[in-house]
Amino acid sequence: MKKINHYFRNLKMRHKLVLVFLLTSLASLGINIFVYVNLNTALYKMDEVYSSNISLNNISDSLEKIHVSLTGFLETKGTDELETYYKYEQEIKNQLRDLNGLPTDNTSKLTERTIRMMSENYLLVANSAVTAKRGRNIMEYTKRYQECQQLYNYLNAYIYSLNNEQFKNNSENYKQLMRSMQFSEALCLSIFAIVSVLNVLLIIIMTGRITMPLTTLSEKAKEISDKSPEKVDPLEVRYNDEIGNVTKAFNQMLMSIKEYIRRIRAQMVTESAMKEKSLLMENHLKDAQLKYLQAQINPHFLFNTLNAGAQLAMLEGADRTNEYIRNMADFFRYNVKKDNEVVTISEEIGLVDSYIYILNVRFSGDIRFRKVIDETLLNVRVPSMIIQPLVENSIKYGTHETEDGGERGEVVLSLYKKEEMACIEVSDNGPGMPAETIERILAREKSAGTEYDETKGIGLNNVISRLDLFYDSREGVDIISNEGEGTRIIIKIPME
Amino acid sequence: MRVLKGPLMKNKTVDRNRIILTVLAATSLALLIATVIGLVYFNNRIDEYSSGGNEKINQYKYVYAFIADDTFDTLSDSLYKDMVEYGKANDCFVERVGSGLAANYTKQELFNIAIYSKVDGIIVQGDGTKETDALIDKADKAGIPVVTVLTDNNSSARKSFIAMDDYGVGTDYSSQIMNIARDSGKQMGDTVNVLVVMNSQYSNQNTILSAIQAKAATANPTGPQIKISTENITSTTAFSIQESVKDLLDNYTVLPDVIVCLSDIITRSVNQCIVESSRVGNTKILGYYDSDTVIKAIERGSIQATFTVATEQMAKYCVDALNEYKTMGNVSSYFSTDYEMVTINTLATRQQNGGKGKNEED
Repeated sequence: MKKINHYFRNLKMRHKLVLVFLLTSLASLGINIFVYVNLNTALYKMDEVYSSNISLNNISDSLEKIHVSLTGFLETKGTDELETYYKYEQEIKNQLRDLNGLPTDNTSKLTERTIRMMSENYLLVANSAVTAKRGRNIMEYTKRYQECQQLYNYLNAYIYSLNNEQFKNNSENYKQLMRSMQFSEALCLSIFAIVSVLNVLLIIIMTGRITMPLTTLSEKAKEISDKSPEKVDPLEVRYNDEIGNVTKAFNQMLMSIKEYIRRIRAQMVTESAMKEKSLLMENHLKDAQLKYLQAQINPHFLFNTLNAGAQLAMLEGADRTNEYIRNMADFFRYNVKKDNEVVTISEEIGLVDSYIYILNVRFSGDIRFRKVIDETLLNVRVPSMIIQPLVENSIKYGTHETEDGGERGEVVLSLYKKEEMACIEVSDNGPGMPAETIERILAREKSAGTEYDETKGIGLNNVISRLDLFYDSREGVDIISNEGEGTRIIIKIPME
Repeated sequence: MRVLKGPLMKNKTVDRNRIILTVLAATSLALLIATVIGLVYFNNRIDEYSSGGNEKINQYKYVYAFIADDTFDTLSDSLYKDMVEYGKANDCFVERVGSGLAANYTKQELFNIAIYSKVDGIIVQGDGTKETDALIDKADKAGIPVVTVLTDNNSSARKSFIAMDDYGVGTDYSSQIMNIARDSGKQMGDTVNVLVVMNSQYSNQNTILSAIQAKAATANPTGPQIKISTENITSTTAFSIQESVKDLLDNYTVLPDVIVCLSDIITRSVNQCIVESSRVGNTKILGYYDSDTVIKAIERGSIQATFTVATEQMAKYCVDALNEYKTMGNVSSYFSTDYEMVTINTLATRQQNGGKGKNEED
C-alpha cells in the first residue's frame, strides 16, 4: 500500500488523471463483461435443461425409423429400406452411448440402462432378422421380427415413461433455474450499481487527492494575502508532480519574501539609527552655535566693527592695536565661517594662536603658551572648534590659580603621531582635575557649573560629544590628571 | 458556539470526509463481495439444475430384477424393500421390473423385459407354471441366474428356491382350526365349516391346503367334524380380488366357522367384507402375513390369527443366493426362512420385543 501511495505521489498529474479514468473505465468494462458472461452462461444452461428429453426423443425417432425400415426391408427386401436401416443403426448406436449402462440406484439412470440394453438387444435381433431375410428363412425372420416388435413396444413404453419422468424433473429444474436466473439477474444489476457507486467514490477520492494540494496552495496564497507572510508556514511537499514543483517554488518564494522583509527591516533600523545620530550631531552643533551666539552679541557686526577698528589703527600707525584687532577679527571670522565644517588641524591651531594672542594682550602677556607640533599632521581633517575650547579650558582652570597664587601656569599644545593616530594634546601645569570630575566628563554626564558657566565658551563636554558623534567612537578623548601635577587632555584623531 | 477557523477547521473537514468516504467504500465493498458470493452460489445452483439436480447416484456391481406375482401385494412390497436395502449393502441393486411404467405388463412380459435388459440375476415369485419355467430356462440360456421365492418352479433351471416351510404353515393353520373347533362348544356330530380361500396359481398354497386337510383328517374323533372347502380367486389385480371376495362371501347366508386366507390381499379383502357386513364374530379368520391392517384386525378381534414372514431373512437369502452364484458358480437349491403364528396372545409379547407389522403402503 505504501509503495502504491509512493508510486502515485510521484506520478505526473496527467498520468494520475489518465490512471483514474482508466481504472474506472476498466472496472465498468470488467463488470459489464462479467454480467454479460454470467447471463449468457445461465441462458445456455437453461437451454440444456431439456437436453435429456431431446436425446430421448431422438432415440425414439431413430428407433421408429429403424423399425419402419426393418419392417419395410422384411416386407419387400428393398435396398432403400436396408440403407435407411443401417444408417439409423449407426445413429442409434451413437445415441445409446450417452445413456447410462451401469447398475445404479437412481430410477432414471436405471431406466436408461434398461433402454440401452434392450436397444442393443433389439439391434442384435434385428440384425438376425435381416440376415435371415437374406437367407430367405421365413420362419426365422418372422420369429425375429416378432421379437423385435415386442422389444420395440417395450422400448417405447420405457422411453415414454422415462421421458415423462425426466420431463417432470426437468420442468421442476426449469422452474428452479428460472428462479435462480431471476436472482442472478438481480445480483448482476446490484453488482453493476455497486461498482458504479465505487467508481464514483474512486473518482471522488482520486480527484480529491489530485486537487487537494492545489486547494491547499490556493488557501495558503490567500493566507499570505490576508496576513503578514512572516506568519505563514511553508507548505508540506507531498507529491513529486507538477503541483509538488509549484509547492516547492511557492515555499522558496515565501522564504525569499520573508528574507527580503527581514533585510528591509534591518536596513530601516540602521537608517533610523543613522538619522538619529545625524540629528543628535546637528543638535550638538546647534547647541554650540547657540552658545556662541549667546557669547557673541553679534559676531558679524563685531567682526565688521573690528575690521573697521583695525583699519583705523593702521591709518593711525598703531601697529600693535592693528595686530590685536586683526587677531580678534580672525578669531570671530573663524567662528562665523567654520562653525559647521570639517577643517584641518592647521586651521584649528591658527584659531588657537589668535585666541592666545588676544588673551596675551588682555592679560599683558601672562599666558604661557607653547606648541610642540608635528607639521606632517597639520593637514589632518577634524571637526571645527575642538582645540580652542580645550585651550580655553586649560587656561581657565590650569592657569588661573597660579596667576593669583604664585608661579604662572603654562599651557602646551602638542600635535604628535601615536599608533597611526594624530594626537592633539593640551596640557597645563595647574592644580589638576579631580578624579570625580574626570570620571563624570568621560562618562559624558552633564552637570551644572564647570565649563559652561561664566565664560560662555564651548565646553569640554560639547567637544567630547561632537567627537563621539563624528567618529562614532567613545575612545577618542582621554584626560590624565593628578592632584597638583596639571591636566592633560588628549584627542586621538584617525589618520585617514 | 465554538467556531473553528483556518487549518484546524480544514483538518476536521478533511477527516470527516475521509471517514464518510471510508465507510461508504467499505460498505460498497462488503456489498460487492456478498453479491459476488451470491452470484457464485446461484450459478452453482444453475449448474446443478441444468445437469438434472444434485441427486446422489450410487453405482453397484450387479443389478438384479425382482418379479412378483402381484405388484399390490404387501408381502412382495415388503420383501422388495428388504431386498433393496440388503442389496445396497452388498454391492448390488435390486430393480423391480416394470415399476413406474405407463403400461401394465404380465409377469411373463416383465420376465422378458428383465432378460432383454441384461440384468445380472432375477428373483421371481414362482408359480409352478410351465410358462414361467420356460422363461427361467430362457434367462438361464442368456446367462442370467434365476432364484424363485415364496413359490417354486422346481421344473425349471432356477438356481435356488427361498421360502418358508409351507407344510409347517399348513400344520399351524390346522392347530388354530382345532383350537377354534374346541372353543366353539360344538360336540361330536357337529360340523365345523372351514373355508380356504386361495389363488389357484400359487403352488405353495396347495402345499398349505394339503397340510390343513391332512391334519383335519386326523382330528379328534370325539370332537366335531372338520369340513374343509376351498375357493379359488382367479382375479389377478387388487381391485378384482376384493370384488371377487365380496361376491364369494355374499353367497354365504351363514358364514363358515373358519375362513383361512392364503394371501395377504385375500386376508385384507375378507376382513374388510366381514367388517362392512357387520358379521364380525360370526366367523374366525385366519390370515396370511402380518401387515399393519392385519395386526390391527387381530387387536380388534376381527381376525383370529395370522403368521409372520421373515421378509428380511428371505430378502437376504435371495440376494445372497444370486451373489453366491455369481461368485462361486453354484448355490444351494433351497433356503428355508422362519415364520411365526401371531394371535392376540402373542401380539403383546411381539410388540414388547419391538416387532411390528409391515405397512402395506410401503
